[in-house]
Amino acid sequence: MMLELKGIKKVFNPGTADETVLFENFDFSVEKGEFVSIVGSNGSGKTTLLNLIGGAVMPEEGKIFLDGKDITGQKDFVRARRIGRVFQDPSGGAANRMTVAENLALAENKGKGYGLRPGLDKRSAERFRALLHPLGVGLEDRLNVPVGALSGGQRQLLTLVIATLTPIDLLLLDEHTAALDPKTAEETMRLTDKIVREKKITTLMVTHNLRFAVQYGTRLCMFDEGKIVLDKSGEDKAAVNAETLFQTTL
Amino acid sequence: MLFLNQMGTIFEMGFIYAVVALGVYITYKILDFPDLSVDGSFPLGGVVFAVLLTNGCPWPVAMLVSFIAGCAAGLVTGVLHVKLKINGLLSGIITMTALLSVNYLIAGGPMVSFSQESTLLHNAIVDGLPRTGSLYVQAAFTLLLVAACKILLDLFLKTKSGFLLRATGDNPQMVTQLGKNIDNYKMLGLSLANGLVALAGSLYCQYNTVFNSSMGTGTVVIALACVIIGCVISKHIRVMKDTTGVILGAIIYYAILSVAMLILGSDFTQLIVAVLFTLVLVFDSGLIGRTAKTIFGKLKKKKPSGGKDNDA
Ligand SMILES: Nc1ncnc2c1ncn2[C@@H]1O[C@H](COP(=O)(O)OP(=O)(O)OP(=O)(O)O)[C@@H](O)[C@H]1O
Ligand SMILES: [Mg+2]
Repeated sequence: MMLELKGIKKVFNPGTADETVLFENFDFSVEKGEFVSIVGSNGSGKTTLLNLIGGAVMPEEGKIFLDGKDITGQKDFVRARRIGRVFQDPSGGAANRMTVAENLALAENKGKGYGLRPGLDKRSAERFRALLHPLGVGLEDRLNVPVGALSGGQRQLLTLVIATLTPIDLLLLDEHTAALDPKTAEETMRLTDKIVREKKITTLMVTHNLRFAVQYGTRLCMFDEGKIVLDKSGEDKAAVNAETLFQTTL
Repeated sequence: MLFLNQMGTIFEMGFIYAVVALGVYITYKILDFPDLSVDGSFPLGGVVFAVLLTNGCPWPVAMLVSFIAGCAAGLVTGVLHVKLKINGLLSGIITMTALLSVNYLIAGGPMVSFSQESTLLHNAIVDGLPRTGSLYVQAAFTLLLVAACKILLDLFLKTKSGFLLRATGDNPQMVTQLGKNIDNYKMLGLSLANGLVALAGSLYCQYNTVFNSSMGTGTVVIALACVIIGCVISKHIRVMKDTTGVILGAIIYYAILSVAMLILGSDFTQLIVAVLFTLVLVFDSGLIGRTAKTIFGKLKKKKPSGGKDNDA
């Protein structure tokens, strides 16, 4: 197992009138190499699940294992060394006042230490161009542009590249195409799939796009009020189509 | 001659505040952190320098220790903020308030005078010259130090760690995603910034050959004004780095301040500082620019059409 959550309990605002028990005795596991699409209505706990795994939210009870190692007590920045993340907001994944090249230079060093070496070297540009060219959206020609000046779609792709540049055990995508126009979302989804397959990264993808959930990934989970109400993989998943899925959500 | 002296003073003070502004640039612009500890670390640098010097320490060592003392003060603000989770503005105020007493205790009184000692700004070369000449030589020495600080800062900001520092202010979430603790980079930035401020404090004391416990009043406001003016300049001139702009900003600010003080008298200093700061902020918000455009636009419209004027 690449990821295992055991007996997770998550309560928001405990002891107050707003107390919400979201997860109770929640178990979830993901095998190495799986690409899990997660769907579910607003407030069903999808983002909280990713936050629990990433360490931005701590559970009241239960344990989280990544590649067999107990990471329950680890701080978010420590976990991030093995976990990549892309958020819904395109401005969330990269430093917007810094250039594309500078952001990639930072990403390149993840897990290697930083120190006083030059941020960009003579061959950086060449390296980054080779990295971005296969995406086919022309990012390679905008290396010296501040990230803030890129379009939302370009930023999400860049964030995806940043998150997967160094070897990671797990990739968490939270509605990463939600802020994009339909065509760009389609393109971003296709490239996401390509990167995930090429690098064989175990992935959890939250999406409200039922077609993406059906079309991509090796496993499909549906959440409702902190519970998994549908979990299909392999042939069972292939049999699911967006219409039947939509019926289930009602 | 008077004019030349005035210009010399503007350069000298401008360069001293340029060092402060470089420090404040790190916190305000790079880290996006409103650091008020500066009002305390500026005199801290001065008092550490003055006391070491009067106890027989050579001036370069005294300046270095001033810098380190400033770094320590910045670290205190950093620890208050990231470890004790105190709001950034309040962390700075706490450090600044504490430093008022600390500085007084180190000085052992409100003043430490060292007019006989040799320093960067008062030595055989400088004091052997006539007043005007010595002013310009002092300014030149200060400029060398400013240039050194600027170049080192520029170089640092181009290293991998410098990139991380910039990213910390820009998008902390990204730094976390890179597996780095943003707390450490905030503390690093605050330390460096206050180190530079304290170094400037030591220069300020050297120029006056005395430490005065009230020298810190208004430092933050002056430095912020210099940084904001500087960044407006560098934004409009593509090739200019922010750090260069900040140095220019300090000189421009000091020139304006000097003229205002010449007209109104030094009793008005803090009032002028406050009014200037307000003007800079209003200017930066674009209000003046927009108003000017509106008025200018209206004037243009009022002009009778025809002639050479053909608006699209
Ligand atoms: N920090 C928080 N404080 C209080 N309640 C929270 C917090 N975070 C999440 N919740 C609650 O937990 C529940 C699940 O929220 P979550 O964000 O995980 O839903 P989601 O499935 O991601 O929804 P969406 O599809 O809208 O993104 C919601 O009822 C929400 O109000
Ligand atoms: Mg969500």
